[in-house]
Amino acid sequence: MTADVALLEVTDLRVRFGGVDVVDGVSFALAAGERVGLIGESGSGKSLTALAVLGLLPPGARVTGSARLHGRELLGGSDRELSRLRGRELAMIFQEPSTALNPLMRVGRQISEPLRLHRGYSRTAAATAAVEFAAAVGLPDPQRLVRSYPHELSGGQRQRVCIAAALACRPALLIADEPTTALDVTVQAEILALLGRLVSEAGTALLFITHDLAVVAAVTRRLAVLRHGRVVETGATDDVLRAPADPHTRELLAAARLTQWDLPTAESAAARTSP
Amino acid sequence: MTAAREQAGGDATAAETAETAEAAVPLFEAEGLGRSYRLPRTSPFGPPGVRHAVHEVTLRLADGAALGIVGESGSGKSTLVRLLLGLDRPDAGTVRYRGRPVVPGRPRALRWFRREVQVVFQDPAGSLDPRMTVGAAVAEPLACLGVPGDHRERVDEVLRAVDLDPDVRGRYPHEFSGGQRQRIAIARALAPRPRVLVGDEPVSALDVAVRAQILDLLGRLAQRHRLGLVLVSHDVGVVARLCDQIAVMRDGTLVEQGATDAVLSRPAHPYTQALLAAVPRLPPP
Ligand SMILES: Nc1ncnc2c1ncn2[C@@H]1O[C@H](COP(=O)(O)OP(=O)(O)OP(=O)(O)O)[C@@H](O)[C@H]1O
Ligand SMILES: [Mg+2]
Repeated sequence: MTADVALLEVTDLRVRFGGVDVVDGVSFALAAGERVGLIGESGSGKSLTALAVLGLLPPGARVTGSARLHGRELLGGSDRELSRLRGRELAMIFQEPSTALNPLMRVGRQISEPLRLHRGYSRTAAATAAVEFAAAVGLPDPQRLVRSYPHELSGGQRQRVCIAAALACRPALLIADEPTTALDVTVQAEILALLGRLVSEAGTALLFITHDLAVVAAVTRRLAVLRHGRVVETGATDDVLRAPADPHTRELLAAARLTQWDLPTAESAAARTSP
Repeated sequence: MTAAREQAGGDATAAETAETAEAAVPLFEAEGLGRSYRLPRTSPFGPPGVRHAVHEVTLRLADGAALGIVGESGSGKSTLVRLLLGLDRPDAGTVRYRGRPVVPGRPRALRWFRREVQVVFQDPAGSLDPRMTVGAAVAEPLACLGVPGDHRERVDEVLRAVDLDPDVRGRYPHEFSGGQRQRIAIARALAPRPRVLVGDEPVSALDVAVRAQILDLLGRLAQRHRLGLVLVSHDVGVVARLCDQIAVMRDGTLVEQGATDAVLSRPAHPYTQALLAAVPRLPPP
C-alpha cells in the first residue's frame, strides 16, 4: 500500500515472540490526513503492529524492519525521543478507555496534560483548554465535568475524554485500536462521527484498527487486511468490501454479511409513512 | 416432537388433535414481569432509590418459535433471562412455562422445567469446568437431572450434532478454541433433549467467521429439533439471522415487539429507529 507522500511508512515490520514472527513482514503507508483501516481476525497481529509503531511493545518482543514518521525512524528510538513524539505528533486511543485513564486524576487534567507537557501551557491556560476540549468532544456540562474522576463517567464519556487528550496537541497521526468495540452501538455511532469530524478539523491522519468490517467501511478510505501477521490484501475500502480478491477476505466478508439484515425497501418505507 | 409425530403413524387424527392442543399452549408466557433493586439513599432522610432492572415485561414464546431480545448494556436483558429461567424471583408478575408457573426456590418442582429448558452463555470458557473432560461435561446435565444410565451414546450423538468428532470426549476444554468450546456448550445443552434453548449473548465473544458458523449451527439445530429459541443479544444482526420474533428492550421495558421482519423494516418506536440507524452497514456487494 503506497501513499503519495508518506506521513507514516511501515516497511517489512516483524515482531517476534520467542522464535515466532507474530507480525511477519508488514508494509503499508499513510499520507497526511489520510484514514486507513487495519482489519483482520483476532490474533492476526493488528494490535502488535500498532504497538510497534508506538514503541509500546510488551517486554520480550523483538522488532525489526522500519516505521518512519515524517521520514524519521521510530523503531529502536530511545524511550525519551518516543515519549516526546507520543502525544505531540503521534497519539493513540484504545478499546478500554478506563485502562487508558488514570483513575486518581481529574479528567480535566488528563485532557490538558499533553498541552502542558508538549506545548508549555501554564496551569490556568491548561485548565481553560480542558473545558474547551471537553465541550468540543461533546461532554455534557464541561465546566463541572472536568472536575470529575473517570469512574464517574460512562464508557462512552470516558472514550470522549481519551479522544480529547489524544487530539489536544493536533498530532499528525492518531492510532485507534478498536476504540468503539466496548461501547453500545448507539454510542459507537456517536463516537465514530465525532472522531471523523475531529480528525478532519485537526488534519490528523488516522490508522483505525478493527475486526468489524462495517465499522471500517464507515470510517476509512483505504484498508489493509491482516492474517497470521501478514498483509493479505490492500486497496480502497469500498473496492475491497465490494469485491475482495483474497479468499480470506472473502470469507470474513461472507461471515459479516450473515448478520446484515435487509434494509427497508422503498415499498415498506412508503408503508411506514402512509397513515 | 417430530419423532412423536412419525411414531404416531396411522392414528393421524388423534396425533393431530393432540398436537394442535399442545401448539396452542405457548412455551413461555411472562405477564407484567418486574424486578427492581434498591439503590443507596441519596439523603439519610430520603427514601432509598429504586432501579427497575425489568419493568412490566409481557412476552410470549410460541412452541417452536424463536424470540430475540435486543438491547444495549444495562437494559435488563440478563435480568429478564434469569427471571424466565426461574433463577431469580420477580417482585411483580409471573412466568409460566407450558402453562405451569415457574417459581424459583423449588428445585423438585422445577426439575422437568430444567430438563426442557437449557441455556448457553456468552463465555464458553467460564461455563465449562476445566477439570472435567468434554464427555463428562456434556453428560453432566443428564446426571444432575437424575436420568439413569451411562450416557455414552447420547454424548456421542450430541457431539456429532454440533459437528465435533465424538473422540473429543476424553479431552479437556482448554484444548479447544473459543468456537469449539461453544460447540461443546451447545452439545451439553442439547443432551437432555430440551424443548427450548436460551442463549445469553452466545456468540458475542467469538470472532466473526466463527460466530457465523455457530449462528448457522444454532439455526440448523433449532430447525431440526424444532427447538424454541430465546436469544438475548446486543447485536440486532444476530437476532435478525435467527429469530422470527423480536423484542427491543430499553431501561428495563420492552419498547417494541413483533415479527422480526416487520420491526426491522418498519420500526415504530423512536428508540428502535435510533438503534437500527446506529448499526454500521457494509456497502452492498
Ligand atoms: N505478550 C505476548 N507474548 C506472546 N505472544 C503474544 C503477545 N501479545 C500478542 N501475542 C500473540 O501475537 C499474535 C498477534 O496478536 P495481536 O494482539 O496483535 O492480535 P490482534 O489482531 O490485535 O487481535 P485482537 O483482534 O484479538 O485484538 C497473537 O497470536 C498473540 O497470541
Ligand atoms: Mg487487538
